Amino acid sequence: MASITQYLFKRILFLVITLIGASFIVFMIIHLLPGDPARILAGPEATQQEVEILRHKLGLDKPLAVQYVDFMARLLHGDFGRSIVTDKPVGELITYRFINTLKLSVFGITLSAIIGIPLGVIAALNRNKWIDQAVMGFAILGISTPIFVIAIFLMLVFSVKWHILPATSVTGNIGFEQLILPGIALALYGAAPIARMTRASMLETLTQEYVRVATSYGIPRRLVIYKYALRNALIPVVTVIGLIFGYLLAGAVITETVFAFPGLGRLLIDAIFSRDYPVVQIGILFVATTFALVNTLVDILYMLIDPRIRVSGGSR
Amino acid sequence: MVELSPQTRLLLRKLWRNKSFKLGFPLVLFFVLLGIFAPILATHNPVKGNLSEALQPPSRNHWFGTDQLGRDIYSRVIYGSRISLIVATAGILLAVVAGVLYGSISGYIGGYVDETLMRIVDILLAFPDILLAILVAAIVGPGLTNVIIAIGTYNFPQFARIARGAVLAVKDQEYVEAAEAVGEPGTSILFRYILPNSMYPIVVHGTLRTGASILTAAALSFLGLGVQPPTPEWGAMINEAMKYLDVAPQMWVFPGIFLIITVLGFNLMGDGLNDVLNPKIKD
Repeated sequence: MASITQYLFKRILFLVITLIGASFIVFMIIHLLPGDPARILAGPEATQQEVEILRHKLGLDKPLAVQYVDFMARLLHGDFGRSIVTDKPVGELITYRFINTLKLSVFGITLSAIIGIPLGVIAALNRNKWIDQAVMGFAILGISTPIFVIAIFLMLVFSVKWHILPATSVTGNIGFEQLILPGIALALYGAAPIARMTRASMLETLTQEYVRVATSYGIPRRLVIYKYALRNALIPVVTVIGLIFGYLLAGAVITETVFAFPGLGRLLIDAIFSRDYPVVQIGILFVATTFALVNTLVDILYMLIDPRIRVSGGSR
Repeated sequence: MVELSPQTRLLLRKLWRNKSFKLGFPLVLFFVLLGIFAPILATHNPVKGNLSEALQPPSRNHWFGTDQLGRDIYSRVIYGSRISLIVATAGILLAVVAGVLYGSISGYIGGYVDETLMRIVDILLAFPDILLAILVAAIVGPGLTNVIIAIGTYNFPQFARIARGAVLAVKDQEYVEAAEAVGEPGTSILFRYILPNSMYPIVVHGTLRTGASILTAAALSFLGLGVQPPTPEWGAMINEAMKYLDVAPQMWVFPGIFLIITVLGFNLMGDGLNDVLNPKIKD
């Protein structure tokens, strides 16, 4: 039991370090940009006086270390600053966009798993037969296809040609219809690595001693496969799903652009173009934080379902 | 160099018997040759168009049709392979050099330094690839060189881990200790005895990452954060096609197909190399 607590402690400590690191990287964005941070944040139309007022107000005249501590203090109080372009609080701008992206990613990863896991299992059970080769061919093609090409293809077929599903989302709250096409695009992209991992893991499990023993005891092969082997084979797949969720979250940035989906990704790209750096900073921090949280949860889950890892206590 | 060692010959034979490698290698070779011989293979100027020939479907004169400015898509796609080739290889080379130096120094010194340096790597790995690339692109701005920097930055942590793993694996071996005892300088030990051990995993990972980086570079350009028009880059071409999706499908279909085939080639080749060299790409 001690090792579980120890592992949890280590993992959460690492999460905290990662988040601090991510916040530092994000903090440094405006300082790494060429030019005066105060001028960048004040916007192109600000007068020199306004720039100086802002510099003082945001503490940009203080040493860098002090500025970082202030930045963190503001973040922890939920004060994410204001947009340079619209002057609205960044928190307000980002929250609903972020929820939309989260919905899209969760939908995408669920579909990915629903498609990817069965395909991986089928491929493993038919190792080296045509069905295995077809599935693996599909998987490597999926990994090699840019998500924007998938997205464009889906949009052309389903909304431009057949008018079945909407291509352009309404702004504001999104309904399920708006999720379908970008969700499928994400799923085709995510299912491929899940299928590959499931197949590899399943093949490894099927050669394990206990599977052979169970089969030799006369337990029906189906039962052995689905009750014992699959369950163990899925353990590493869980980790991959966590990682892929992160990629989908980031991949959503691209998918959202194609479908004009009102998510965080598009907000982020628009903000980069309009040099709205407070929005860029917080947007990236939101995605990175979610990614780190999901991976921590997955690692903890992994440890809870696979007792072997507790002994070595390693990270990914 | 003419006389191959028996091990090398065995390796080559194994590679040639590997299905993934056999499929992937010609695709990669095809792509590299396209990039090198682009000026010979192209039929038109890739950046100059004739507005009176805009948005034409494929024809005898324009094999892949023309885009909204009347530029020849075939020639642009051919030149696009050159851009992708430059961006991906330069980006990965940058990542390999930076990562190997960083990781091997970290592993060789050990202790607190190693601990700190590796935590930094872990933090960078906590960002999804494309997000880190977008972040770098947001700071350094768009452009060819900056895409290379972005690719180098987000790929280097993985190579750092591989190199560090290789160093840790052999650091305490007798032959390394012997070299130390004889008084060989640390850098010489690193390059002569330690790094050759990380060759295979770096080659495998490098190949797979080259494919992935071509995708990322195209994605950045598609988002408008990478290589800028009128440079014929596949992602940028598909971005320009967004306004003409159904009237001029040739504008996105051809760069899309070349992008997929190229990345597929690198992924298959990487899989093949992985099967044959079979290193554990874990630290």
